Amino acid sequence: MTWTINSACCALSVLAVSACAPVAGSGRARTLGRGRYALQASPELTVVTGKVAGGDIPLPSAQLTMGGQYGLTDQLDLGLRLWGFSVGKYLLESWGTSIDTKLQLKRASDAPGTREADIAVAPRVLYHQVTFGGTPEHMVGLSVPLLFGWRFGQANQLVLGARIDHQVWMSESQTPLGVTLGGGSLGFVWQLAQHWALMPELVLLYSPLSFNGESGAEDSRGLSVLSLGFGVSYTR
Amino acid sequence: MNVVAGKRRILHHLILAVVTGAAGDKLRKLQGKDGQPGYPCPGGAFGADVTKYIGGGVGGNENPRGIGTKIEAGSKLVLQIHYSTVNDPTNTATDQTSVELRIDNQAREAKAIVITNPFWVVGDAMKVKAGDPDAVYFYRYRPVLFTAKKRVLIEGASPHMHAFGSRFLLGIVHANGQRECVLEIPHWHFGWEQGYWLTTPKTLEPNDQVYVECHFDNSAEKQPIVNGVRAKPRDFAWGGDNQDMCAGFLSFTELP
Repeated sequence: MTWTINSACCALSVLAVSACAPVAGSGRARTLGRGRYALQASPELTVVTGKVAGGDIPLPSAQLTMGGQYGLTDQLDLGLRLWGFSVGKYLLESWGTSIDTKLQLKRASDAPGTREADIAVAPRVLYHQVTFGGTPEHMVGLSVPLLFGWRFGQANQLVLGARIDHQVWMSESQTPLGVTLGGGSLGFVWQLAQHWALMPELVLLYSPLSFNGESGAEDSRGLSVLSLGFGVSYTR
Repeated sequence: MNVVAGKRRILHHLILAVVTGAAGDKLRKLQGKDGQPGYPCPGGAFGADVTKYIGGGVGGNENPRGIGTKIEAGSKLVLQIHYSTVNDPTNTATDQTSVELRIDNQAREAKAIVITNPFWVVGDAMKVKAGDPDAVYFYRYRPVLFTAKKRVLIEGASPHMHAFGSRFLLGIVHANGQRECVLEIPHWHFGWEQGYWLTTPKTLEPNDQVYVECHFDNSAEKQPIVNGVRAKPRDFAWGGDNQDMCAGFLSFTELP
């Protein structure tokens, strides 16, 4: 009986967290430059897998993110993103917003053929809400990706990222739940035209989070987030 | 389902479940493989993906109002029996326990609503501090995942807590804010964990919420006795041994 209850409740928990905040969309490892701006739209597919009750429970979800960034200085961008997702049939809804920054740590030479890497850090604070059956769950989080970018051709860029995220989930009658995730990303910025670029990005994050209170049991530990974003960017 | 107990002094309880498809084929291959009747299932699980449970315990139960459990053609019924050998020190007793089922082709199937905060399962989101004599956790939501936004009849209820539980409530919050109790167990004991059919079903409207409220007593007096010594209180969260859970289940049928 207990085994069955565990399975049912764990499946519900993974369902709830599967409507997670978008994690892709870091873009280039290079700031826009003072006075320039970029507008982005990014559908993102995510599979959250919880290792619970001795088995993996993978659940897919999707988010559509819209946002923009502005170059405050040559070394610093400031941006805002909004996203949302809803399955009306199950009253499963999620939405959120984030304030994005990007700080250039090292800017590669613009000289043709350079092998230098752009290096940037892109801290982001976010609020995300999941509503399941009309009852909200709130999340505040901080994400700190460190981005390395290498130029390919005229304006394309391969971007590798390492990152750490921390999230705190809260609702009524629940002890605030801290979740730390670490992982990396692989992205490519494909400059289609002077102002337009495609930005596919794959992100993999992992948390040694325990399910079912069995913190020492390996078969009840681990949450992974695999996300694929397809960003489109317009830059002026 | 009615249980015809064999040797009651060793029979602890039983569970009858339905297994379908490949899982049923897997069990059929296991059956008798070790030269003994049935197949071994150490650890308490069925060793297979169970499709649904028909019943359990030692007393059996009689479903009201023509409610039954639908068993698809080709399904396997798996009977798991738990024995206690405390009263059989020589471990030589044999048993011939069996179950009786009422077959009804007109029966209506009751479905289940699970009521628990999904996040309690994660980490220590349902933390009960050491020494707290009345830690309370509750959760409410619209269970449209289960009812598909239909008006349904609540036919029965089942609580789930472990040994630290002290009080349990399960109910409906109507759209106008009025609360209606479905099940209250004011002085919880683990033995109260069973299914209860309502004498009169209650209507759950599409905009109604269901709620569960669990009280836990983690005071010094409530701690388990291990090897003759009462354990000291410690923090616990959602989990199995020496931890606790808070979940409720409602059985419902669809209105014609």
